[in-house]
Amino acid sequence: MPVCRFFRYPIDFDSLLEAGAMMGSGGMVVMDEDTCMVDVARYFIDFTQKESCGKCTFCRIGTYHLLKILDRLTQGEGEEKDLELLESLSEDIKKGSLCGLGKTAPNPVLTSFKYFRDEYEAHVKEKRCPALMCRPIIAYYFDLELCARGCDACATCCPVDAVFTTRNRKKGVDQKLCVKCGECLVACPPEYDAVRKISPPGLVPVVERASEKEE
Amino acid sequence: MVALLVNDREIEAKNGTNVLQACLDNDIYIPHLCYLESLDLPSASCRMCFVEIAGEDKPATSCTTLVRDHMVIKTDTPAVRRLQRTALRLLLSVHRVDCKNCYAHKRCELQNIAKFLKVGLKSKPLNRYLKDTDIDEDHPFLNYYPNRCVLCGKCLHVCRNQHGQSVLTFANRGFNTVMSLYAAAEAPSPSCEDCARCVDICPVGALALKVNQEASIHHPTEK
Ligand code: SF4
Ligand code: SF4
Ligand code: SF4
Ligand code: SF4
Ligand code: SF4
Ligand code: FES
Repeated sequence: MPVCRFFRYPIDFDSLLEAGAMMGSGGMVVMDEDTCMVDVARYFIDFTQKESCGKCTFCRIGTYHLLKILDRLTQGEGEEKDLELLESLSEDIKKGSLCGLGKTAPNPVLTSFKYFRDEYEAHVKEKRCPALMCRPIIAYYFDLELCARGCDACATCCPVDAVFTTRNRKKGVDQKLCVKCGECLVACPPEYDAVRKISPPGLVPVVERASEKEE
Repeated sequence: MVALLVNDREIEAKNGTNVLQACLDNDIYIPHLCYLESLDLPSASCRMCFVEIAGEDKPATSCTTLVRDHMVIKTDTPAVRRLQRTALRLLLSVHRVDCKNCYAHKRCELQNIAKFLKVGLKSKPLNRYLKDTDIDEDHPFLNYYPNRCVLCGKCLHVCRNQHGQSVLTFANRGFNTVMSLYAAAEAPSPSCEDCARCVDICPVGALALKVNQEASIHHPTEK
């Protein structure tokens, strides 16, 4: 739920249900703008889909389709029709399922869809993850203004050797090698804070390597 | 006896009857796959038999709703049809539709329901997700087709009714649920060869006696 609208909500089962959420035993998860709502919905559906007992049609097959659609969206492979399908299927699973599990399973989708529709659309239309969380549609790079000459922190920690050195001894990311693990983001010393994420990955600035000789 | 109004027509039914049975007895068709009259508690798993009841905010399954006097029911509202079409499309989205090579062709309940609801047998707009195995041939007398089974459970119930315990059982869970047949060695007693009640009750072409298969039907083509 977006905080601006609901921050006065008392947190108990009934009022959350009313607001379209579902409280499990896990308590409450607080999210900010670095949380991708599509990915969060995917996470919840992945959970309930695995919990489905398989008895009734809507929950057994329906939640599987929801998961597959959300998988596509977070991988930048969603199509416009997926959004319609996601919404109508969720409504039908809610109304059509036999027990409480299926009747509430689609809530995370419906709620996030209602309040964060723009995030869903960004994933489909621009293949962009506004929260910069969905790995397949983000890219890492180093801001050359901030990157410290001669610093090697990112290069040492990169598990796949994707970090290269530029002509003036700053760093660049080889996008073909990078597995988007985020290690460099953690390793870059806070006084430089040069690691950036961007989505869609096509927007990543081109950085030139130092030629073999110079290196 | 109670009197109820179904699609503006008055019908009568015995107390304790469910709405689905009452309608079927009066030639009012409601799509259904898992309902068995002989079952005390309906499994209500196919989620196909929805109707709208005056005073209730969303469609209810008719097999689990008992008749009440003066009940007002509609079997063909947009909300009902929407749920039924979605249920059917979901079933078709995990179904290998190859009717020409299926012995149930032309007497298949899924075909009938699709025709009734005017839904094509393609699962559009849903993607199709099929199981790896098309035929389970482990049982000495029966073949089982996971990609045709709608998991209505009727086979299990008729077998149990007949023999006290069932050769068939649900196996796995969630999306991977299938029917499973105990191998002959572990099977308690019934001789499936002379029985075949499950084959007869199956609303689709998901169970077949091996002998009949070999005589007349060829296997579905692998695609
Ligand atoms: S809604 Fe309930 S009964 Fe139906 S498959 Fe899900 S968990 Fe099972
Ligand atoms: S995100 Fe991971 S793989 Fe990519 S450059 Fe940084 S450390 Fe290397
Ligand atoms: S069970 Fe057989 S006849 Fe029925 S829809 Fe499937 S392939 Fe066609
Ligand atoms: S043939 Fe008869 S005994 Fe064998 S599984 Fe079917 S119903 Fe049960
Ligand atoms: S094999 Fe036939 S009767 Fe048994 S659950 Fe599947 S569809 Fe129903
Ligand atoms: S016949 Fe009522 S749910 Fe299957």
